[in-house]
Amino acid sequence: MLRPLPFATSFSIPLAHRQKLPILAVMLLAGITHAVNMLRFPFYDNVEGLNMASAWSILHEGSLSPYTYIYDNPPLGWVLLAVWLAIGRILPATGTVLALGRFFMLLVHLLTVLLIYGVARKLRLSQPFALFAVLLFSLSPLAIILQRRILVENLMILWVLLALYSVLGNRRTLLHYAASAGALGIAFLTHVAALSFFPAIFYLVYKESHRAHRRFALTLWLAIVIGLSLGFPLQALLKEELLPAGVAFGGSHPHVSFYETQSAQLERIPAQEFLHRDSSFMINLNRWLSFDEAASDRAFMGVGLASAGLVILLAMFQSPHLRPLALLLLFYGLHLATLQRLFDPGIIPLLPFLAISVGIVAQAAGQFVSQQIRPKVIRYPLYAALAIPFVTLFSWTYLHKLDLYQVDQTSMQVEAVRWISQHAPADSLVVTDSYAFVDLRQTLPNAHYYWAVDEDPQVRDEVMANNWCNIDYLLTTPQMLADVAANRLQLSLTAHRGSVTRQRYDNNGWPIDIREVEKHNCNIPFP
Amino acid sequence: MVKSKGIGILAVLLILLAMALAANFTAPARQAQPGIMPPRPGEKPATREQALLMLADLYHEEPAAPGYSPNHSLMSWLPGQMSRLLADFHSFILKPRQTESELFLILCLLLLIPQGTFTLWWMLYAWNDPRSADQGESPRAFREPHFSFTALVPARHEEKVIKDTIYAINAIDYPAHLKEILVLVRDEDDEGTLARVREAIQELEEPRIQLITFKDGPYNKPNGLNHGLQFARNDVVCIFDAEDEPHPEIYHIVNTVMLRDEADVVQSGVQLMNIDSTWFSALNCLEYFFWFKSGLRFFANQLQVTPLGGNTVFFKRSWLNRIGGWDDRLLTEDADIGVRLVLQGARLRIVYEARHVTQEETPATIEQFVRQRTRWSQGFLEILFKFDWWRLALLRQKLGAVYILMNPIFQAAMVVYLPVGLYILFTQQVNVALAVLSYIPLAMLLMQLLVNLTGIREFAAAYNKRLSTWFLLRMVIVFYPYQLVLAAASFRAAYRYLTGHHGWEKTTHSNLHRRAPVPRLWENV
Repeated sequence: MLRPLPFATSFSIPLAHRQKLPILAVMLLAGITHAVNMLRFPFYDNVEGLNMASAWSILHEGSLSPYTYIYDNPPLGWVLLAVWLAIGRILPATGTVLALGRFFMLLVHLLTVLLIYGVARKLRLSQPFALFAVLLFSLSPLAIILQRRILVENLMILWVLLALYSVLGNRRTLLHYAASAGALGIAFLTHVAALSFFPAIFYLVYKESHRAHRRFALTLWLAIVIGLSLGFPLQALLKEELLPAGVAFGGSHPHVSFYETQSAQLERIPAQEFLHRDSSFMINLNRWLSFDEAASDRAFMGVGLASAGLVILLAMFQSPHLRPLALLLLFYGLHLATLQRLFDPGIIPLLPFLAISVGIVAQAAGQFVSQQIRPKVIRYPLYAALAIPFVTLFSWTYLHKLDLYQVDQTSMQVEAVRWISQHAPADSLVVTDSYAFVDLRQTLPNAHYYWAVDEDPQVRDEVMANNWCNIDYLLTTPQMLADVAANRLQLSLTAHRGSVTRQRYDNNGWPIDIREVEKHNCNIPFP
Repeated sequence: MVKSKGIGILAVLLILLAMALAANFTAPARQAQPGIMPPRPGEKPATREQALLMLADLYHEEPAAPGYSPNHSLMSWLPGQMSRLLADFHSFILKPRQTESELFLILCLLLLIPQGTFTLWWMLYAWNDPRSADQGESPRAFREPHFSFTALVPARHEEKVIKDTIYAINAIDYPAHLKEILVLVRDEDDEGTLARVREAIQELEEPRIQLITFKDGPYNKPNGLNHGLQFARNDVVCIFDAEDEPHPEIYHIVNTVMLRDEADVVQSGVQLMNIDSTWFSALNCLEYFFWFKSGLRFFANQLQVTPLGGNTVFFKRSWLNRIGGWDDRLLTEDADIGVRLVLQGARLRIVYEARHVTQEETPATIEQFVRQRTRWSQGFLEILFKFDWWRLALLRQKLGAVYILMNPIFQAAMVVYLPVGLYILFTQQVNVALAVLSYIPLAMLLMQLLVNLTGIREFAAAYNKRLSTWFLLRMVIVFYPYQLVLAAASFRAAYRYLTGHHGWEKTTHSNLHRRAPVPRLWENV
């Protein structure tokens, strides 16, 4: 039977010199694995473009989106990106706006790994195993790819880790709880998925607070978290867009409503269906566990999920101090599993906790072995024997993912932007994938994102006059073409048919085309 | 009496309105009076008969005399005027004022957010770190009695309570030769109090209880205290109010703290106890709870400047003599003396423990409460504009003093902000981000409410009280009206200060804290 996990030396992070060096070394490694080739791999994604477009819009136009804000995300993540954009103006030229955003993600990544270490130590991992958890996270190809991307989920998990770090440990004061609540509120205002972490952290506050101030700790924590979180619907309420038009607090003008967007995004499937092979969760899980996908990590995901299960069992029967972590894993796992539509970034918040879970299980296993087998001559070879399969698995997986550090997927994307900026007249109406939106807007004020061209009534009816012939150029990517085709985005689809390729960039099998609409096709009806 | 006056006036108005309405249906049709013609429209009546005709016409739709226009009737004129007025008022209210509104919001946010945050911080200071929770509590073991104590008990028209108070102070457990009581009464129009004091002295047969009378100086408490100071002979001078119920161990506590911490001044806890006497008493009691348990400790520890309370405060007599006693020109001599002692470098200590507090009562009526708060707020303004705080050495002491002394004004600003903010919300267009941020002061006010609701549970736990759900609900309902009352008192204080009204508005006491079924914890020790 497993004995309780050993306490770490102290709940506070010891900062003796001999302990600082390994931390600095691992941090350096985490920075290197993230930074090497980060501007060239992975390709600039749609979502990254949208996030930077919102940040750019906040900075330059004073609005949350260059188009209609549809309450898909709370705005604080974009506000942070906007602040970074403003700072970035005074830095030496870094290339595209997305490149600047990726530098910000490097900073976020370093802070994230520091907090992973801190949280792991406060969950009573000894320093070696806490650093092991950080290494797992920093070396995982899945984590590297997703952390490099300019995603609000990366910002959200940073705040969640900060909230957790603030509240863990002994000698907590009301200021710590207030800081935790503030961080969690900001996490929610960055991405609504942070809601999944509320129960676990509330449980921590309840359990860990000293009884002399528990009432105030709970009151303060709840009030700050709820108060901050209400800022999101409040914003909609003030604009009379909380509910659909015609309903109370919905105003009378036609508009996108907070309620409708959030209802659609948080649409759930029945819990028992998540294991169905066609469920969004299973499709994505298979992808994350696959071998061929770039954004996958069979070793880390497999071992991590198994460790998470063991941690939950340990928390239930053996180690009460692991219950908050177990609750985090359970609630967020349930959130992921029951989402109607799950996308890649959804796994980001789970990754740090999977890494910590592996660390906990490894430490427990090491403890178990050291308790059962005293002689070192037997114990150390046994450690090696247990570690070898895992090391082999991870090494073999990661050695097949060296594209992260070598392949260039973005240069052609950047080049495409440069070409069209130089060759298209300044008043050209360009329909583009969102990755290029902000950079194109610097020189082509009539550049528009393809979804908005067809789906935003203001763009479609006023800018486009609902006529595909008004489009001059298209900058297409496979993602854009797939969306246009699958969703029958009529204007973009017809314009694509009525255009010819002026420039093509192969881009390692992910081609980018610049197409010019042939105006003599305008009167030809396309099927 | 105020209530009945108001109801009376309302009743009269209602009756007049009813009569006016009734006249519309019961007034007889105006008969044409031969030889008397009503004035033309726009002309004033030249005779009494013409005036009567005109008045009669106002209540009738049909013209009763030739040449008289029915449009001049009251029933058609009044609505027209009213609707014109309403329309003018409506357009005035809805007039776009975006710049002014945004400026107002920004200024208020810059003022109210730090003030609200700071207020919450000092309210919760005592609970922030459980490790230091016992730092402000009474010592567990007492040292040998070393200091002697003179209790000054100023009293004016306190015949209901003074005798019980003298008995209570006399019952303080301490060597008899090391304590004395000086009861200070103005000997002009207070025979009732004098009689009760003499009664108590006679019954107790205690030579160390003296009655000190005086006739000169202003009619206020600091003047009485200064007179008492002249007669004080012991090492430590302390003040008890006429309605106080000090704990029997209070002298031991102070003696120990002064010896252990080398303190020159010790402020011990004062606590209002009657949480359910009136609609405002719970919140009033909680103010004391947070102020003495947390606020004073915060100001003393973090800002190194603190106002003192008006009673259960202990001074080494040498320090009082050094600063010349109390300033009898001021309404809050207690706050002033705290600042002046800090200026001189005195070491102040705050001690609060539920077992050892001096129990007091809230004002019995809202009028008395407003008068009390007006006096305090006005007194703070007097100290503020006396500028002694300007000579404090550290910047945080200066800022702390300004915050403390202007706190009533800040509180009023918070309360006034809400209706103006609502006006802007409903009638003006402002930047959305600013609009969202403008809710922060409201959120802070709600946070204060939540802290109070949590605090009353702490209070109940400390003082063995039971709270019903209705009690808590009532606290929620009266919270904002209570803030309005405080704001009204602040405005009244500012008005009185600016118009030179410096008289002492006395609060009467009724022994509510003694009559209320409050368990005296020390009786169980």
